[in-house]
Amino acid sequence: MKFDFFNLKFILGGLLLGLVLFLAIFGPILTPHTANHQSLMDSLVPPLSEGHILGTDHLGRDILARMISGARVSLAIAGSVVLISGVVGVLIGALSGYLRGTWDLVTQKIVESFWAFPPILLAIAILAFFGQSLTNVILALTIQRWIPYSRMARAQAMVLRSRAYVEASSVMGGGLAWILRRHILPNLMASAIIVGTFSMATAILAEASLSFLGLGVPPQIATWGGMLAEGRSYITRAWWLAVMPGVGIFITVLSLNLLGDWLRDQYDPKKNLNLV
Amino acid sequence: MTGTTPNDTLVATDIRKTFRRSNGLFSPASETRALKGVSFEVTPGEIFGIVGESGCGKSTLARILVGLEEADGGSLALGARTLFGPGAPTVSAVNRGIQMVFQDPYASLNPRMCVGDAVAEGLAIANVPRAEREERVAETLSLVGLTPQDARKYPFQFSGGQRQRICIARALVMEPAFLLADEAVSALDVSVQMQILNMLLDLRDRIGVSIIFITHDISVVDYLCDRVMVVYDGEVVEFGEKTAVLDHPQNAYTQRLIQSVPRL
Repeated sequence: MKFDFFNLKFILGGLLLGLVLFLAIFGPILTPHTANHQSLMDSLVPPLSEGHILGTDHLGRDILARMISGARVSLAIAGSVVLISGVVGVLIGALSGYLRGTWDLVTQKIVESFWAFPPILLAIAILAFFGQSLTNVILALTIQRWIPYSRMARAQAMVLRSRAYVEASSVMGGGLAWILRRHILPNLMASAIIVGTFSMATAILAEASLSFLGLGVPPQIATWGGMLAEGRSYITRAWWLAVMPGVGIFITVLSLNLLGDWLRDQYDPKKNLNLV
Repeated sequence: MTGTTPNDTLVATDIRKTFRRSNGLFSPASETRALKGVSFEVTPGEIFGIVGESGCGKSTLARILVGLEEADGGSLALGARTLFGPGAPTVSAVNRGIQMVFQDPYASLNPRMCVGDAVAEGLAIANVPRAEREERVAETLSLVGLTPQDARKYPFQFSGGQRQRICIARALVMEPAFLLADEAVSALDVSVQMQILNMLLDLRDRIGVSIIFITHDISVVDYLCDRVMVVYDGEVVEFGEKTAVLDHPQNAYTQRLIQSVPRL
């Protein structure tokens, strides 16, 4: 497997995602302020001012510090959502495609009924029911996001199960667990990573939407969606309140989409790669 | 490890298989009678050919013999052991002592598994210790004309003929009494076909494995097999010594089949 790293999609996506990751991990070095420290004397300071590179909001809180908090929340939530839904979805889908029969029928009906709900509505309902917390946001977003993985894994497993090497394995005594672990899962990993990259982008958007609606993590934690919602009423007087978190969301989603696109190109069989 | 000795005869009696396909609620299910009672026996150390056109049921027969498919009726016995049949518990695929080589050498190997792991797969499933596995893989790879160093390579580094050798090694490492090759050379070009056929003949002489060779190619049967069974539409139409069947075919279908192939 040879990856083409001198590719505009990869360089741009990698740089932008690197920037966001750097902000999330080393952010506190860049600013002395904390995300929730209020200073009404310094409210609505424009960007590039002394002490506040990205300015302050209506309560005098440092936007950069709040952006850092937002990046951490977004990446942590999106990361866990992608990881949990990926593992669950791939396992259910691979079993479904490999076993077929009753298990497949039952899981496909479950998949279809989840698919019938608009995703944001389902998430809102779950958060309204269970209350706001970090784990509940992750639950609300995971509950629909395992479906694309399971569909992909099911389709691939149905192809792989009739491959001669899978049949040979069962003639040699390979049971369900062996065949899944040694043959099915390794061969659908590449597709799962691609689905995961795009899914991470939509998870970040979904988290921001929930925070924007005030249904995300508890309001004392600064998030990009929450900042957008607060900044909306000041958009004519202080554009940076809404633009900064918007740029944060935009950069993260763009970088993930670019990287996902690049990965998909790399695994494209037309690029002389013998994938499956 | 399979509990069979190389001097057991494989006896198949009246094997039947019907595939049913549902056509929805309001029309009757359609049936395809793939095998209408096939009986034969394969003696130890022989190369037994099963010939027929595509769709005649020969691949279904192969899948039933190795245990990938269950027969609707009939029985299979290896020596005194019943592998499946009425009143006997069905022996699992791995314990039958029959290993299979498939048609397509490109789909037969997992692209993400190195050759050593692929050949050792059956041993790993049976929890054979690593050191012994490596030793037997090296041994078997030399047996099929590859080098023990090839174990570290990946399938994409090999040609079709070499891949088929790897698949044969994977089957042989299980020490089967019978090797079942389903169109194992059809996907290879003629010169490579010849090498594989010579290797199979050589293997039979050296380790005494019996080979059931399924093919549509009369010339391959002529070169390789001791006895032949001709299958047409799920039934055995002719059965006997190769020379008898090929030189004096009794059945009309066999005559047409043989006439259609230019013989040297």
